[in-house]
Amino acid sequence: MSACLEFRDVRKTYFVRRGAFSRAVPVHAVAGVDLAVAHGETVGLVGESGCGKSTLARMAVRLDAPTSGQVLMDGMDLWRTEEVTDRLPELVQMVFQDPFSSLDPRMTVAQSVGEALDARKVGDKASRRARVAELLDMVGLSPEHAGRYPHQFSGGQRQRAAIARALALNPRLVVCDEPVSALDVSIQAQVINIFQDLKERLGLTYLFISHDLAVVSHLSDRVAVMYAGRLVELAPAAALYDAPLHPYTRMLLAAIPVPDPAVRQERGAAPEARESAGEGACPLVPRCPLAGPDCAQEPPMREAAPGHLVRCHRA
Amino acid sequence: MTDGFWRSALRHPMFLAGFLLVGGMSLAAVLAPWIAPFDPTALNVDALLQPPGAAHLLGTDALGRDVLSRMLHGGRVSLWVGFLAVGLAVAVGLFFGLVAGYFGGLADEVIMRGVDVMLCFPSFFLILTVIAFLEPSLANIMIIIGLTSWMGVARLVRAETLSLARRDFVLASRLAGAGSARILLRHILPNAAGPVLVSATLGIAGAILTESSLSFLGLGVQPPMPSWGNMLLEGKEVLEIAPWLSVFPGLAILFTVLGYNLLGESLRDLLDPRLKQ
Repeated sequence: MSACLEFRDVRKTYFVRRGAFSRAVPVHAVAGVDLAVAHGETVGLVGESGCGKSTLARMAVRLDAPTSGQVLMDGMDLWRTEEVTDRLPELVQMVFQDPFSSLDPRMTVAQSVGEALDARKVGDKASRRARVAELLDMVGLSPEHAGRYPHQFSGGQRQRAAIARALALNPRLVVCDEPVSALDVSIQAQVINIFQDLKERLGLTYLFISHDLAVVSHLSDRVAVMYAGRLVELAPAAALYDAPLHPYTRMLLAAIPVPDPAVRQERGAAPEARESAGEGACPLVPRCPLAGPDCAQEPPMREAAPGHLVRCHRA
Repeated sequence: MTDGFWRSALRHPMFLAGFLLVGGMSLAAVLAPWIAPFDPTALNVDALLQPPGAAHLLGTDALGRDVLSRMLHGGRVSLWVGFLAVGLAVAVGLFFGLVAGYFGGLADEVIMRGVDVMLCFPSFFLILTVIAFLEPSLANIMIIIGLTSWMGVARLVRAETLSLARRDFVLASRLAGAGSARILLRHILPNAAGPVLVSATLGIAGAILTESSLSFLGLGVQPPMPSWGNMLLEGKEVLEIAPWLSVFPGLAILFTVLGYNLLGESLRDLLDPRLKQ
């Protein structure tokens, strides 16, 4: 069976002009990603700001076209198969990071949640209204919330509404682009539980993006770690936490705050490095504690343990 | 526009002043046929150039016509020109602005260069030129003012559309399967309405002023139909012996334009989301 979502050597290059008269410089936001998400699986995608996570998410829902490579849904190319582009709203939906900008301020929550039903002309008016009520109930909003506007809601409530909207057409895949990082920590857990609950109830597949490994750990079956537009490690969630192989993954894990003053662990302070690693080299070289001369040649992904992929000479 | 809007609006002195001026002037103009004491075009050879007094509150002109009645009816012209010319300008500007901002590319390039070309001409002289070829009727004046004042709206709407089209709620709507028409009408238009309303309100003041200027030059509303502009023109001849013929229409123009400007400026404050929170 083909994967729910698959990236095949996907690249996205932007041309950025620094200053009015300089030439456009290529920026490789995504530099060759291979990743398959099976039906019913949750794959967490972690990495720091600017590593290409969001670009990958936008390509997964066809908001951006890859510069090269293929994005496949059920084995069908998103940009070459009409069958899949016509049905796309029923196949994949997205939950955005900022619930303050992802809901139209001039629409009621019921209008936002029901928009997909209206746009796709699903059923009649009464059945659409019933469906909206059902969706609101699923995310823990009460019926009297339906007629309210986003500014009358808290961030957590807005994000619940945004989740309800994403589920309106019963998509199998939901791409979540940092869906909890704009929320208060106390609300984050509630929203994560909603994601967990919906996954079990509806058999959803998630591509769950975050810069916070702790958030991803709770939900994911497998976790992919991204750095400078590439995947550097991909492993089952437990294996990644217990035995991280890539030095960058270790840095990320070391950066998770431990809520216990007795545990003063040695923080692997990730050096802020803006200089380039040089053509063809592993991009982590300037901030990697293990870097050696062989790192001038970037290694391919290799399977270090069953199902545990890593891109590092030293791991 | 909710209760919250009116609550803060009525505490805004500038809005209140503009609202009362515009509201009062509009009401008087709308009710002109019923509240005007005389027929605005009826001649009265027994009462030529009467100064303001009990019989004629604002006096009479050189043909014995009642100035107050003429001003009330002239206000209707201003109101019509203001609303219809600006309505046309907003419709044209909205259409081009939405298309340019949303579709971008060649459409954007063509439309915005068209705007640049239109803005090259001093619009008042453009209007004068066109009027010279057309019959100077009320309808023609409204159309010409409308078609020479949409560029500001187009630029404004394009800028709003550019920023709105990249917002997450528009992307979410696209993912939900909404087509361009739906996104433009349901999401972008309502969210761009505030700034457009402000510019339309300010535009009405400009349109009224343009109409008055045209009529003053004899190229606008033609006698015997009264308009504030042609009343000024007629009053000019007898300014030294009957100043009331010029003073009252002049004040009417001044206060109406002031009213719309106050209203527009205060709406700009009141509708600015950055100031709301």
